[in-house]
Amino acid sequence: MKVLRILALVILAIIIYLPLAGLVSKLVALPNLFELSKELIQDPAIGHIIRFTYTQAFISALISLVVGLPAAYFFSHYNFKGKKFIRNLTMIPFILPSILVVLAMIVYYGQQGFFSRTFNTGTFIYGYVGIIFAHVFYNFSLSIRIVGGSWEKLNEKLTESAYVLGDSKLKAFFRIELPLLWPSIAYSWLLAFLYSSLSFAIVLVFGGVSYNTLEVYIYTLTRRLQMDRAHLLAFVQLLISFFFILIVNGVSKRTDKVNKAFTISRARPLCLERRKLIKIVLVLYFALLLILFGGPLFSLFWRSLAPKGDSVGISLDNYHSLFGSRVERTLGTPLWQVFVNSLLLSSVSSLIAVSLSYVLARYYPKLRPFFLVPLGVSMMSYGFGVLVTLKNWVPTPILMLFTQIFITFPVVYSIVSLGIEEINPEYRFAASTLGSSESEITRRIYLPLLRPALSSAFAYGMALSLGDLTGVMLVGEGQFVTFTVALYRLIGHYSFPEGTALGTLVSFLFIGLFILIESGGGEKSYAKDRPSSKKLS
Amino acid sequence: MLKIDHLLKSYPNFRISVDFYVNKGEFFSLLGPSGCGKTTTLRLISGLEDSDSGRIFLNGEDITRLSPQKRQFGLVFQDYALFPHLNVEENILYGISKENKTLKKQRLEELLGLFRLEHLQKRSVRHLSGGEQQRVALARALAPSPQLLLLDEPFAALDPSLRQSLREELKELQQKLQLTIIFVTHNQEEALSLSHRIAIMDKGTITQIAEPFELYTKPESKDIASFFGEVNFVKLSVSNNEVKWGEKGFLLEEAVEDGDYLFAIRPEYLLEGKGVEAEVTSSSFLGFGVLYLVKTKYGTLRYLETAPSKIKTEGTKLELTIQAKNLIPIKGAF
Repeated sequence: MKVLRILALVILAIIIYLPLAGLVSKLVALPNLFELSKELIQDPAIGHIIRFTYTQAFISALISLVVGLPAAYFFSHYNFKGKKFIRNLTMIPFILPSILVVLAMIVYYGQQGFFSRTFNTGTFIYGYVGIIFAHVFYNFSLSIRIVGGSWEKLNEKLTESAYVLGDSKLKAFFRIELPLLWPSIAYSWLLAFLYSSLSFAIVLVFGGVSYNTLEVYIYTLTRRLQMDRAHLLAFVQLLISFFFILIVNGVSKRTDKVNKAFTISRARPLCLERRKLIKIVLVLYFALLLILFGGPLFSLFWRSLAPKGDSVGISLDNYHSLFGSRVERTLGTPLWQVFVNSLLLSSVSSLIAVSLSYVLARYYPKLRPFFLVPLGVSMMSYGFGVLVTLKNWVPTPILMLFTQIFITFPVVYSIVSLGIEEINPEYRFAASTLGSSESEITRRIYLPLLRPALSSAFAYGMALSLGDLTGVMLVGEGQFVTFTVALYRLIGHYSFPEGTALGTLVSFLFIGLFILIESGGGEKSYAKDRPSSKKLS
Repeated sequence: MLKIDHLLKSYPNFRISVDFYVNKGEFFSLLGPSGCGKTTTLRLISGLEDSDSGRIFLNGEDITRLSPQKRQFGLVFQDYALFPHLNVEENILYGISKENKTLKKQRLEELLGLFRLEHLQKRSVRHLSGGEQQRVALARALAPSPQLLLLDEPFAALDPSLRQSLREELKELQQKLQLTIIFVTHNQEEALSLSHRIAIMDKGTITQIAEPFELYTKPESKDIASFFGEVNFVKLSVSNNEVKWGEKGFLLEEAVEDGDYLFAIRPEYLLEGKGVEAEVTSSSFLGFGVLYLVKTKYGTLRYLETAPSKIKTEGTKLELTIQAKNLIPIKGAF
């Protein structure tokens, strides 16, 4: 057993820390580092890119927050029919692959999109507005979960005390509720800011040549083989994102502290029966969310069923041609291979991540902060580290696996370790006094008790891996086609009909995974919002 | 001072219907098991809940539809609900933030002194002990000088040892400041020791209102009698206002009609002496006395001997008597 534990540590070190160490050490060894840095600092384009990366993230996060807050209020204060279902619906965009969101937005808001034609708006998605809109699409549910979660737990006797002491509802909100919710608000804003700043697929497609985030720019440099420059920027990105993750963690701790101190569950959320005005506002608000954010997804499903040519009705034409030879030429791989690649890569990496997490969370709980390091590292920085450190030694499919484990591990670890924390340690002592060996305790006590957490973690891991575009594009160098790469290529070739068909299949797969995540108590752990419950790829 | 006039509030499976008054300077308790509606009654009085019908009068003025902001009552919750982002001083001053500086300062000093909180003035309320939190909560509620103080189980979250001393402090405070208090509790001892009058609540209604001593000695129902500690129920016949205890006859102090009555007899009211034959079947030593189970012709009774010289063994025979003033028939039973 002991050998196994140490082996798990070594494997994790090789997968996660070696490439990061390599990124730094090889950078230091660059002969022209000084000139390179000087050149970079003086390059106005870099300044522009960094400014754009963080301003768009700032705005995206702010709008995400504002869009999610009403739902956070409704969910935490009122009970109504279908509440759980609606709440789950709002969570779905958050786990979908970003390239899928891109496709859905093109289908709905694009030149020929349903929304643009119906409301005659023209398209706005290519450029600044589109990027921000997509990030909001993604991140608005963060504030619903985080702020809503805190609001729900806010002891209502605090506000009642304020009323009795003479405060109006509005005044009590500003004097009591807002100061107490402030850490959660800051936290959800920061997370949305972090994700938006690390955005890749969305900016890659909607940004065109004018808008680059650091992630996209590093990728472009590697494609142009300007490796040294990319290397230095990957390091800069590493530093910046690490800096933000430290802030996020600080705020997260404060949020936890405030949530714990003096808060209890609301005894009973209010009934909506007699509150007509609020009912109307609620219906309007959710209808708006449905039109803006549900629309793209429905439109994706609907368009995938459109017949070829000008005829009307429903058909499976797009699904037929998805498996045809034209698509195979576009993708460079037969479609069945894409399925095999994606499912194999995601399930194997998630399985490894779950196994590693179990061993590490059980036997090395004190090393937790080290295990969560990947949260503070952008995929591009890590991927670049893999390229410069391991490329010549390790075959590409294994490196792909590494990137996927890197993405999935922190989240899987969070879910599994939370599950383990919830198990009373005395069970272990009881079992050992009854004669169980360590392996028997694992088999007969821990694994059965952890089953929901493990399956939820596995599903979440798979979802994250299936959604990754950054890692597979950078490290797989286009040779290894997964769902996300396939969708990206179909979009690039304007093969939207087939794209919608594949997108629909992938969404169903994700909805299945989402149900698995929810059923296994994963929501509890990702609702705690460890910072990268999700990474944008 | 406060009059609750047929206040009614209905819920799907529950109904609260109360009617009582509270005098100025009175310590009035609402006592009942959990779920009997006493906290909701307090919330109705504070205005945090709206009643369906009935009225609330304060000094003759109808305040039924007045918002909690305007009632100017003090309220202390069971978990105190101290504002976690404010320190001790800010919590206390919360309700008088609009007052002028000198007045605020003066009031603050007064309250800090009264509750012995001077050394904690700038402390975060998160770092206070349970007793300190309670004192801050009381100070906060009293800061705006409310006409009425509502206390919802303020001792429930405290250690038993601390409860005793804080209870005494509260009593002292009430007398010193002549506070009018409505106190909600499920603890009989608390209610008995603190209150001028107690209202017993059960299933949403008040079953008896009386002074503590009267409530204990003259309960109006079997439930109320058993609510306050150990009690024996003995069925005895009354004729010509005389009741027979064994062979001995007692004249009842209050006139009742002839017939069978249920009498509530506390274990400590039984005394050794000529009356009814009894045999000890078991004993429990309680420190201040011994509680015996004894077999009698009225069935098994509980008999409490205080300051015993020794503990009687099983099988010991004795005779038990009672004083006439302690023979009180329960109204309504039989």
